[in-house]
Amino acid sequence: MTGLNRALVVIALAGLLVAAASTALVAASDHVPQRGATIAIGLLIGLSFIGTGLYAWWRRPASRFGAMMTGVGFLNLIGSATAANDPVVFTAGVLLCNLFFVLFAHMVLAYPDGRLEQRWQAWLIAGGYVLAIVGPLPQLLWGFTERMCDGCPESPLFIADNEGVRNAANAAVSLIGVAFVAVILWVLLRRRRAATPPQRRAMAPVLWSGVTILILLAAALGSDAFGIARVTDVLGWLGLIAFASVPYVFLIGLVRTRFARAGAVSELLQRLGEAPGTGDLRCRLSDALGDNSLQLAFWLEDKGKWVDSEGHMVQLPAEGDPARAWTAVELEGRRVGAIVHDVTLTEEPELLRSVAAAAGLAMENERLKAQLHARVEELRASRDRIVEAGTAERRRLERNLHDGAQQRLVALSLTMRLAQANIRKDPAKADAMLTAANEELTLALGELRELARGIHPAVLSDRGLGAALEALAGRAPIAVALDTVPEDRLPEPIEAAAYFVVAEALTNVVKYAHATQATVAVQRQNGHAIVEVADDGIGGADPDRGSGLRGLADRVSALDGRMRLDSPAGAGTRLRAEIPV
Amino acid sequence: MNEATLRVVIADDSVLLREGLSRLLEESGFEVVGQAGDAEDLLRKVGAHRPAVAVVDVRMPPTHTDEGLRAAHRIRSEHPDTAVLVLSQYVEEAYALELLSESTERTGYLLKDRVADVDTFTDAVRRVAGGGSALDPEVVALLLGRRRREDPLEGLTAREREVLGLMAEGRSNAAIAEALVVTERAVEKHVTSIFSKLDLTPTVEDHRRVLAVLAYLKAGD
Repeated sequence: MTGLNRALVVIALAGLLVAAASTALVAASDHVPQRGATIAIGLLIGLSFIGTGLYAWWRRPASRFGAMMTGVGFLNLIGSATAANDPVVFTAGVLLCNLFFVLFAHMVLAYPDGRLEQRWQAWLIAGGYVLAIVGPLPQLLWGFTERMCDGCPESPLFIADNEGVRNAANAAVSLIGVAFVAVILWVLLRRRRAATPPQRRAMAPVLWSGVTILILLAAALGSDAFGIARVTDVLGWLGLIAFASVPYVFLIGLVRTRFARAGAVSELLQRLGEAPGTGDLRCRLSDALGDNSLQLAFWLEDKGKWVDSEGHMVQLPAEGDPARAWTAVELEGRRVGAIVHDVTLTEEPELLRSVAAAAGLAMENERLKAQLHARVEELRASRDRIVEAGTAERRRLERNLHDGAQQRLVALSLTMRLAQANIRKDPAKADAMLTAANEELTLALGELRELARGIHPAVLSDRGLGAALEALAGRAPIAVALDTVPEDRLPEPIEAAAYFVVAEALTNVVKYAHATQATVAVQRQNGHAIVEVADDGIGGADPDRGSGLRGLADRVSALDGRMRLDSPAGAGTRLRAEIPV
Repeated sequence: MNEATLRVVIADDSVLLREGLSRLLEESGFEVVGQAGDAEDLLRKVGAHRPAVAVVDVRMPPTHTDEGLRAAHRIRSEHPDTAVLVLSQYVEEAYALELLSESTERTGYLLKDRVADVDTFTDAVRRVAGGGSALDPEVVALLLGRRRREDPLEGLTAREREVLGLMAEGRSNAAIAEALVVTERAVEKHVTSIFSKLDLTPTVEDHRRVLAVLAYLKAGD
């Protein structure tokens, strides 16, 4: 037996003890008119609240609701102290006998977790407790009416009979009581309006019985304030009966939802079994869980992210989110998706578990579709980027040609003209100019050569990846070791992609890595060309830095390959591209 | 080297360049006996004219990739008396080393730009015709400049690196001495020092020496 269970048993025993004491008090009372009925109704209310409260406490120990319900039962039984013949016990009873109403209001207001939403509500409830204790004082000080208490023992607090003061004070207390109840009713109804459907369903039994009782209480207090005794009596009895029914309404609600949910799950299983993979899975799950706001998320293992059915990335609600929560769906021990639902559903973990279990296969089907969508989406984005990169590259080429070779050629043509003009009158000057022109021309040719090489090195198509990488390594300003390169030629697009991956990687190594050497390896493995560039630099490379890496990733993924950057701070950088051959 | 007129065949798919080259060589005292627009034409004309030198562009029709290089190989094996000077658009050590890997005799690889520098160019033509070799300084610079993990070239003095570069270009000791304005004796001393530092077997024949140096530079990683 756990510590909680032991405690609950002790409380239950204490409840029986208090019930026995209250029965004995009422039975021996010399001033309670209908002792049998009073005992019966007292026990009914007290024990029902204690019993149901303990059950709720046991089922949901995290919520204070059960404890509060149990408390209402105890306070109700303690209220029987008004039946005592001993004046002191009687007085204490009178002071405490209204507390259970306030605790009840507190409980309804704090439903479902037993915590009040706002600070002012805590003050309101505290005021309620004070009012409940202070409320009977006028009668204790200035005498009971006959109707209220005929033949009651004289309280030690009694001063003198003073009907005027007492009635005025009584009316004031009753009106304050009515206002108190009205505020609570207002809060409850406002909260219902703001609630989501599953929240409304969950709060319905407590809300409606609470509202009924509070209205009756307010009416009773109101009629008492205006001294309409007959109405007060009738309302009092109606209130007691309604009050007695609260635990049962609550229990029925609990049982009914459990039955309804069990039915929903079996219906879900049946519908999913009838036509697997068709229809709207989301609708079916939202029917089964009764949550229209329900959403599905699918897990993409290779990307390590959640997406919706359209393949767009989604964020799951964080732990402790006040409105939303999620339940993982697994298939054969593998995570396939998640049901994102209203947070109130977490109070029914068994239901969520069985729905999640039932949905596994259908979720996997939907997941595959979502994966496809995500892939299409990704391809579209990368295609756009490739087109954009192509345009940017053209712009860069245009600029380089224009600023470099073209400018030099213009200057050259100018120099040649001047040389021509000087050729007869100053041959020495013309000669010097032609020498300068020649130098300019050499530079222009060099620039053009480098530009052409950057666009596509001829050696790559003529002699293959090995020779091209050799040349790349030879031009690098750091030591680059070429580990392995396949002997056979690879398809041209793959060779080109591999070449540019190495070229860009080496550029980055030189620019950012502070490395002294790098290693390049290209291998064929399991139908893939594996390109690896590793350096001994500072690491900590950011894969999102610059458009170079991004463009490469696109180029690789256009060939159905993938690229990975592994760059722990201080431990070098390793870029790995896998391209299917 | 005798002063008899050297006969040359030129192969390039650009008529403009062919004509320009032809004029330049004629003016420098060569006899251009044939011009070819593609590799097939070139092989035919080399077979017919048996020139001393074939000046060949790497890129020619039909594929515009490395027809010139392949033709160069065939000329070297089918007509060993004809020297080949390959002109390339690119500084590609792969092409150069491929061409010079079997034999450096009567073989040269120059950047096309060099034709503008008439003296260097005609010197290279004469050198390969005379049985030597010519390797473009930019390719040599690339080979020398290559970063190595444990770089034995770092043990060389600046002057020794210069001498090594000129050796790789295919120059003789006399030519190196002239280029650096020192005595041949001084060049010989440098060469000996370089060979011992790089752990190479000393050799006197120029083309063997180029071969050894290139093999060393190529393998130097």
